[in-house]
Amino acid sequence: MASYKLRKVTDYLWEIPREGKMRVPGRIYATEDMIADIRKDNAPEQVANVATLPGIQKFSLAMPDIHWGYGFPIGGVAAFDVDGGVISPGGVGYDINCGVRLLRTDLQVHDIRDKVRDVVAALFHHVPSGVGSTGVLKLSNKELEAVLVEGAHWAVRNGYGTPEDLDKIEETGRLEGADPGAVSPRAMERGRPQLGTLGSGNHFVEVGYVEEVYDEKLADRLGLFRGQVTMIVHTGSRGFGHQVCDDYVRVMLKAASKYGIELPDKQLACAPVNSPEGRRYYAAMACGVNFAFANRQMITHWAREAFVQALGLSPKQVNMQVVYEVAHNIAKIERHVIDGVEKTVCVHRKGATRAFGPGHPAVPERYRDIGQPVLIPGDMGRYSYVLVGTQTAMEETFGSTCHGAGRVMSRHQAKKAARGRSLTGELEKQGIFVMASSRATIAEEMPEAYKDVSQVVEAVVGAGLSEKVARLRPLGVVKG
Amino acid sequence: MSGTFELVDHTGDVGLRVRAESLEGLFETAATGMLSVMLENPESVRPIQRREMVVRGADVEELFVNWLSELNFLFSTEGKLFSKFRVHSIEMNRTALLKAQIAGEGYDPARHELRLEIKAVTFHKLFVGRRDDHWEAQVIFDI
Repeated sequence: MASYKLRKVTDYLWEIPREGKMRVPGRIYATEDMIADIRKDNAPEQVANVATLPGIQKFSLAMPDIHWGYGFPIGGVAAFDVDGGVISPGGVGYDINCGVRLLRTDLQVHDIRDKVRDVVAALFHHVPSGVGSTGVLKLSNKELEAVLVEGAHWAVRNGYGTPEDLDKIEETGRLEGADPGAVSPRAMERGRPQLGTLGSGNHFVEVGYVEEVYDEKLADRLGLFRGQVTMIVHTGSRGFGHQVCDDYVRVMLKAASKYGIELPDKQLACAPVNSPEGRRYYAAMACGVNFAFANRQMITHWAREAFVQALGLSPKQVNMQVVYEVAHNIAKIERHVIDGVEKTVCVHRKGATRAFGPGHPAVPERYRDIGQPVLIPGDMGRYSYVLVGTQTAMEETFGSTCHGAGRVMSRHQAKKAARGRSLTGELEKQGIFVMASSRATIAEEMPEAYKDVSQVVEAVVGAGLSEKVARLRPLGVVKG
Repeated sequence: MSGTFELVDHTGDVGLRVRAESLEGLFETAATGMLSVMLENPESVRPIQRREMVVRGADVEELFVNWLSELNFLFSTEGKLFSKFRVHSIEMNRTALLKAQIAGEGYDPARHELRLEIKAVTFHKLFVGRRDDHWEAQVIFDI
């Protein structure tokens, strides 16, 4: 039974009025069509719960891909004043810095159409993936600590990719403030064997192409053109991030009690940003962020090699360059204007992407006048989107937008629906070639198990939070 | 071991509901249940390497999460899978303490079909307690 009210503000925005222990109203970006489904899994109640936490600014926000999560909803955005507000591992998620990197090439679809199978096989061979997959590196503790502090910079220094990749990554692929001293030995042990692996579930490497361009000027600035071959890498911090989150949920449970913070839900456990516990979590989270940045940089390096090998071309001919890379499970210290005053806040984005508008200094210089690129991956049978951030996002959502499509079917339901069907066969008929370490993964990750991401994208575009640049279609997918 | 378990759907994740006559049996059955989340063919894990385990927790619920977390941790770091569990004792004083013997073997890709990676054992909707004449537990795994 719903214990919250939901009232329409615009065609793309719904509000949960401030009631009871809520300190601010809740705001969910969605269309009328989407709202019925959103109500079903109790995610709006989670938006209302987040609104009770100390120091929350303006609204407890949720993007159109909102769905139920641990404590904070997935698709949730919440900013807390660093003076007196809180930081919460549940507001970041278990997979710290799960994120997406988009790369472009100089190739056209027809250049590789009859070689997609080879490319996917080469990617599958070069990129370690799957449940229980271990990486190729044997890192000492000291080396792992360097990864945790330097992120993608460590990877470049060790021969993965080039320095040119770095400024096209959020935070240049290295979040400041990481302290391996805040990380438990358990997290180090879980992380060490998994650096340089894709993982499983909804993580993937995808070869695709630009199917449609919505804004020629913006596409041109991002180096994209119709028919162009692209690549997407979607993965996170693996067991390392999961363990850091696990460790700190327990720390925060004790801390919340110590600081007298009332929790409507245990998984909202938090501590003041400026408390020792809050600072330590941030420092450990930053390590997880950097682990994921390094991970994606390494996987990119192998993907480039796989392409070159499978196509028999030179790296120069392929010219695979990073367009941009975004994080969608992260907490950031940012300055935002709130009621006319610039404040420093801790912005939590869990299943939400930063989408800074034109002119923001954090956007790389090459893109600064058009806004920050945003990558929204869809499921493996449908499409992904490239967007840019807007001034409206800066004003309304702390510069945030959606991150992708949520699930509509549980894994069990998906497996049932897949029975007797050859999913790889069905996808091949659509021109999409999939390879996965486990057949079960393909079933559980089938396109029908997910919402249609284009609906989510239309909602954020309609709300003015992002502008559409291009749509990408998959040609080949490697899943764990 | 005298318990039963069932896996329950939970949006993108997996939940486990366990039932047993004794608290020790509940913990043993839960570990068996978790193995069937991790593997398509849990019966393929041979209980040939034994070790003793000690787990602590603030209360019985945290002990339950820590027990399962530890087993998952042994898989993700040492590559070890466990299929037989014998809980010697669970003591509840100011904190909870569990002592058990677990038996299993190293992961062999040729025989063990991996199914899902458990990112974490969560505290969400966690329940461990007595109902009527038996013990019940519920836990959700982040996949």
